[in-house]
Amino acid sequence: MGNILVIAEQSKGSLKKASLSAVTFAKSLAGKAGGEVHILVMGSGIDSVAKELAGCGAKKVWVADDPGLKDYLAPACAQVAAQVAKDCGASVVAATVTAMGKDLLPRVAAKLGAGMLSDIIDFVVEGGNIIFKRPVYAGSIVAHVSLESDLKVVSVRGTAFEAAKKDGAPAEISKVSVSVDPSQSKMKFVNFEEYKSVRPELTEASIVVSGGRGLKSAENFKIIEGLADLLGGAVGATRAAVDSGFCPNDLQVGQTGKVVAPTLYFAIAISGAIQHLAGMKDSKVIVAINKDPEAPIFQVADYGIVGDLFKAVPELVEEIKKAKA
Amino acid sequence: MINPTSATYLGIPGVAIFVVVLLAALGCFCYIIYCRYLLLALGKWEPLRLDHLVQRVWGTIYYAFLQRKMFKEPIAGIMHALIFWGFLAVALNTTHMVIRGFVEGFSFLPGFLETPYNHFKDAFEILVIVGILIAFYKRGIQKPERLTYSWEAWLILIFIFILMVTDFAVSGVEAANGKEGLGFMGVLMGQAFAGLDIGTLKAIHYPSWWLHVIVLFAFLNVLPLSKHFHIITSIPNVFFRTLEPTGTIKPLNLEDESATTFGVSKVEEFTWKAIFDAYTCTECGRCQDQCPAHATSKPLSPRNLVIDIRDNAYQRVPLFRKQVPGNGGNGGSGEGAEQPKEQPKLSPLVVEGKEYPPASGGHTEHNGTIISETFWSCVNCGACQEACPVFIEHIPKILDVRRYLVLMESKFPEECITTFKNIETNYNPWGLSYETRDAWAEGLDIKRVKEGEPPKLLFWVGCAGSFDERQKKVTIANAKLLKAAGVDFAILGNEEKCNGDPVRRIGNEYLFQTLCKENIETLKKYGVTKILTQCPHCYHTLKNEYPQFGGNFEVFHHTQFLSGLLREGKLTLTKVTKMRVTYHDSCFLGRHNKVFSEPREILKNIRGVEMVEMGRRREKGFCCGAGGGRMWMDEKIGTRVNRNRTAEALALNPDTIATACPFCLTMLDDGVKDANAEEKVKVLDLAELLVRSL
Repeated sequence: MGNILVIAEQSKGSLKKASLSAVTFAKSLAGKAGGEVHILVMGSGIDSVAKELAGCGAKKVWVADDPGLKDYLAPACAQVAAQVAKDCGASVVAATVTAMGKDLLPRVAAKLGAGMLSDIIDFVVEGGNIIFKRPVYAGSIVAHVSLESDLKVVSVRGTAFEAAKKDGAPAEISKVSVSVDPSQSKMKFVNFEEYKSVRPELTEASIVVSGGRGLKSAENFKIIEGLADLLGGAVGATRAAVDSGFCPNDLQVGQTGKVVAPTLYFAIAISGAIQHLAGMKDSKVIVAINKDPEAPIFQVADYGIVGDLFKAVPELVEEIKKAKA
Repeated sequence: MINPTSATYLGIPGVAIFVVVLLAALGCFCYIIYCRYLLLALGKWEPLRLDHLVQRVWGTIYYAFLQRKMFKEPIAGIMHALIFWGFLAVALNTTHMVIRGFVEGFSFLPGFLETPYNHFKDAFEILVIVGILIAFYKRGIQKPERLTYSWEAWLILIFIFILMVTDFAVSGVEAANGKEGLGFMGVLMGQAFAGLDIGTLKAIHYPSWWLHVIVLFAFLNVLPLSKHFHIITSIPNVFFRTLEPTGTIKPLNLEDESATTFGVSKVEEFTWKAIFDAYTCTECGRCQDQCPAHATSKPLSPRNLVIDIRDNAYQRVPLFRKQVPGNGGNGGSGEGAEQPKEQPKLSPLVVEGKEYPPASGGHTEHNGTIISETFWSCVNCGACQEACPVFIEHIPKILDVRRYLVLMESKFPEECITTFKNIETNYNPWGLSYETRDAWAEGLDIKRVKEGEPPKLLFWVGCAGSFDERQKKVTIANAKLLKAAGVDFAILGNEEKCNGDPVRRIGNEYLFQTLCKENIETLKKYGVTKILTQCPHCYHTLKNEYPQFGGNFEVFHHTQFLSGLLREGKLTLTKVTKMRVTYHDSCFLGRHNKVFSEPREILKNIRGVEMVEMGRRREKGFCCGAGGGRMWMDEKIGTRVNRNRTAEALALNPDTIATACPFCLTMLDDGVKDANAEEKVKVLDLAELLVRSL
């Protein structure tokens, strides 16, 4: 088997941590199927990124440093990546599923005439043949797929692979000579507007903290927000809390609101009416805080506190702060 | 006395003028009616409803001729009855008046009936005038919101008034001229005219008679042009009314390979009866007065809905333009009908939208176009149909359009997707695993159905009863009551599936039929004949809509069954519980299926219960807000239906609000919590109240 090329992502001279998941994938694949791990990073003024990547246990880090690559534009990057893939003798090209990964990889695959699979969560090597695993039907089924093309392009789900540790022997850094003229491109970079999101998206967050009618006021709802921020989670609410004006409409979790399935779900002052349960029943771990021991939420909760939220939540916050410190 | 038509006017013989006027009026009338017929023919064919003739004829007498629904609004009812009955009484006299234009003194009546009839019609003419005065008062001074205000109504009232007054004048002249056998008004007027010379009498007689006949002809032609078309159409509309429980939806033939579209997005996709309904609407607004959507500021007014359909329909067959042949006629437009190159601009019947644009003409300022949110606002409670004196069917029209939006356009409130998906995969709206449907029965020693052993009674638990922690308490209460009464029953367990009401009411007929057919197969497999439900939606659908697909079962709601057990003495209540209870009528149990007394009977049997009734109860019950699939949609516009209802209940200061429907239970419980009254007031199902008193 040939080498494995990972396309790493950087932004304004700093490495995107998500890329390190793809590096782990590549190292693991190299371990089972053979070949060297190469990493490509593209941009302008990215020496420090290259150095950082060199410590991740790859054989070689390819650096395409050019003023024309300052702002990410898919056509130029795809051109460079396809060239490097050929130069380094890659048989697998990988990147993490990010906005850039999703944008770039299909173009690279097209340029190389390679088969492509997206959102890989695992793989096995059987008799030299790599069988990739990817979720389909919103995760209800895992498909096992192999690519028949010699050259394979895959995107890797970030959460399925740990970030590569930076403990390997320093890799060789090799400059790629490129000359990109952005004015020649059909695609123009206009502006980069960063959306400053304090909290993760409700439906994608791995932790969701939700509040119900029992909070009694919008003022009190800040307790929920405080806990969510401390845990890096999203904020949710019941229909009753939304109706009472404690929080905006788009935070509603339930039958007629958003359906969430985080790893950890806090149901605070939520009785657990079925209309709400329908929106969060698939959460991995459910923690309920409610003063009514008969509340249906305790039927589905993994952990429950029967008590006053105004006492329980501040105590919880204190404990989390202590544990974090 | 000389006949007014025997005089000459500007040298033209009166009779010639009369002939021209008469022919013009009749010709014009026939042309308008022909156009209205073309429009009906444009609609889809639906067989004439000629079943149960005795019931239909009796209903026509009861509701049309005796005006029984009208008196639910006493003043307006009396007003209308006086005018209507007056019309019937005066009809013969009016015919005489016209024929007397040709034959002086003509009468169909034998001589000895002449005088009694004249008294009779005089009396009714007075009553009509009383009716008109009441109408003037209502329309001009009281101005209730439910009415539409237009010049049409005034014109018609003034026309009728003129008809009455001119008849008195003509009779008076005849009396003054020495004619015998007149009614008391004629005699009275005759005394007033006594001593006038023949010239003055003629000056009163001629204009009065001409005015009478000309107003009559004008009146005739205004009818089919205005809401007063109901004078012609309402009697047949009452005759052709649906005899099924209101809220029963007709099935769609989804296997019809020639169908190019399902549901309704254009007027011509309605059946002729739906268009006839629109002809019949008198804009009285009784429907709007009762509508929970209207009461909570949603865009739906059942009155405007029907008027908008009519406005739209009239654009399809305009009176003064070349008619556009439609595609749906059942033989109306023949083969040779050419498609004109330039289609006149027609308003679409349905457009997407949550709010009506600013005033744009037409009777409701909607110009015959209805926004989609109007259809989604409906809770299918049937209060409009119950209120409508002429049996207009609003719910089927709303469902027709919902079906189009769901099946053809996939345009529906997005939150319904979750419900559809959950029902498709787990056969319950909340998407809880279908394998846990019978988890509630664990440890309760409840029989499951077995093949080859038909159950005496099947307890159809329903999705809420199986999955909702709150409603499970009701399920267990029902199971305990049945056991206490020694009733032999079984459940389907995990083979039960949603009955399909939520998706059918949202418009997803395809999913409904799948569920319905699967459920019927399961029920037949186990030889089920008798079903007990604890949800009015399961009850209504199994009882009234499953027969459409060959599922004929004897279906009971638990309130019917339990009150029966009480009557038979199979349940003995011993405990005395002091409670002040008000009962909330579920629309699908009460109004649609007329189960009003059994739930109240149960309450009367519980010792210590003090029962207080809400104003809006029984036939006039007010929805909880969850019917018609609204349980599965967000309520973002206006105020909340459940809060409106809960406020009414709480005003009676009860400690318990009793229900008999899982949706009502949820909605009212939410309402009580929203009102911060949950410490004082409990919302309980009647089965729970019963089980506590055992």
